[in-house]
Amino acid sequence: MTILAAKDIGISFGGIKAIDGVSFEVAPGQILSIIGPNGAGKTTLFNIVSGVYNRDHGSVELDGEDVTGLPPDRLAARGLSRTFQNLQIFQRMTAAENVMVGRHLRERCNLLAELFRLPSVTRQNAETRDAALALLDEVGLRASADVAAGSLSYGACKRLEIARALAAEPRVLLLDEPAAGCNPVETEEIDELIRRVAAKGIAVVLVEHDMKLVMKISDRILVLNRGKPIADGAPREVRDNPAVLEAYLGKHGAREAARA
Amino acid sequence: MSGVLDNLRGRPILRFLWGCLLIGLLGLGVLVALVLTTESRWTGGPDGMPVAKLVLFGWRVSGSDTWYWITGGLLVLGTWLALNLNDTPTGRAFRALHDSEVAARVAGIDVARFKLQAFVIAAVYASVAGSALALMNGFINPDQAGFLHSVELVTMVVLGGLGSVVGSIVGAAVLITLPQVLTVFQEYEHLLLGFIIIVSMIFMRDGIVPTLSRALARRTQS
Repeated sequence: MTILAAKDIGISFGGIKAIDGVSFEVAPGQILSIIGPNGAGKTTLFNIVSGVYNRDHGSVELDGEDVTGLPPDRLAARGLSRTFQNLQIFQRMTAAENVMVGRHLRERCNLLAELFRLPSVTRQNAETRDAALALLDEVGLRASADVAAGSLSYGACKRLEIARALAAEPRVLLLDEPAAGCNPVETEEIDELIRRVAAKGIAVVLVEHDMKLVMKISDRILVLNRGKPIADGAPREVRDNPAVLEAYLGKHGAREAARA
Repeated sequence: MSGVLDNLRGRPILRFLWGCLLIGLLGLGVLVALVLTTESRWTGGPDGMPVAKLVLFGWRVSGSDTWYWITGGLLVLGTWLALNLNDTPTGRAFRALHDSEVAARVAGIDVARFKLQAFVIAAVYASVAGSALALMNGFINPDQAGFLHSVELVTMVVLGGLGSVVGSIVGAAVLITLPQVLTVFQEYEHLLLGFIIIVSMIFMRDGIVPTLSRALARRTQS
C-alpha cells in the first residue's frame, strides 16, 4: 500500500536539470530517506512534492489521487506536512502559538465570533492550546511553551518545526534535515521522535546528511546525484553500492573505500 | 459599504499584482485622490465639500466635547476588537503570514483568503475613522486622501511597531504630539522631528512598543 508516490519528477532552472526522472513511493508507517551529496536536488524534490515549486514533468499522487501542482495549503488539507531545512518558524510568536498555527486546519475560523471573543472561540482556543502543549511535550519543549520562538536554540527550533507539522495530524511527513546542527544527544532524541511518528502509521520522508541516523532508522533509502536517482533500496544495499560510494567520495575515494 | 468595496478592489489586485501589491495600492490611492480633486461636481474639487451633521435618533451630534467622547469610544472599541482577534485562529494566521508566508501555507493557511480578510478589516477601520473625521469637522477635502497622508499613517504604524495593536496607538500619539511639542524649537522643528524618527528607527527597529516590551520582559526574567 502506498500513501505518497512521486513519478518521473523533473524540473530545470535556466537550462540546468535540477531534478531528472526521480520516482519514489512510501507506505504508511514507513521511513524513506533521500540522501545525496550537496546540490543533488534533495530539497528541490521536497519543494516539488510539497507544492512549493511547480515541476516541469512528472506527477505526485497522495493516497491514490493525483495532487500534482496543488498549492501547499491544499496539500496540507489532504494530509501532507513538512519542515524546512532553513528554519521557517514564526519568530515573533511563542513556541505554543507556533504549534497552534499548525492546528489551523483543525480549527473553525469565524471572524465575527473571534472579534467579539464569543465563548465558542475561547473554548476552541483552549482545546487547540492543550493539543499544542501535548505535542510540545512529545518533542521535549513543554518547558519553553510560552517563550518567543525567536529566542529558542537551533536544535529546539528544529523540534518545534516537527511539532508544528505534526499538529496538522498529517498522513505523510516530509522532514528536511531534521538533525542538521544538532548535537549527538539532540540527534538521538530526533531519532526516537521519528520512530514514534512512524509507529503511529505516518509515512515519513527524510532528507538527512547524518548517515548514522539515516542508516539506523530508514526502511528504504533513495540516493540522488546531480538530480538523478543512482540507487534505491534497503540501507545495507545502498551502503555497499559502488555508484553511491563514487558519488560521495569520487572515483579514487571509492577504490580506497573498497580496499578498506 | 467600504468593506464591500475593498473586497472588490482586493480580489483582482491580489490575484494579478501579487508581487507589487503595495505599489498597486499606492497607485490606486493616488488615483482616488486625483478623482476626488477633479470630479468637483460631487466632491467640490480641491476646496472640499461640507458634510451634513450626524443626526442620531433626532439628536444632532455636534461640539468637540461630544466628538471627543465618541471617537474615544470608537478607539476603545477598535482596540478591544483587534486585541480579541490577536489570539484566535484568524489572528494567528495573520501573524504567521507576517513571519513566514511559506511556513504558513504549509500549515494549511489559505494565503489569498487571509490577506483579503486583513485588507477588509483594515478598510473597515479606516472607513470608520474617516467617517468620524468628516462628520466631526462637518467638512472634507481631497487632502485627506492624499499620498502624504497615507505615508503619515504608515509611518505611525511602523514607528509604534508593526504587528502590535498598542503600538499603532502609541505611534499615532507620538507622531501627532511630537511636532506640536517641537514647535518651541521654531525653525529646527522639522530637523529635530526627522532626527528623532531616524534615531528611534535605528535603535528600535521593530517599533517603540515591541522593543520596549521585549526589554521589559528581559529585565523581569533576570
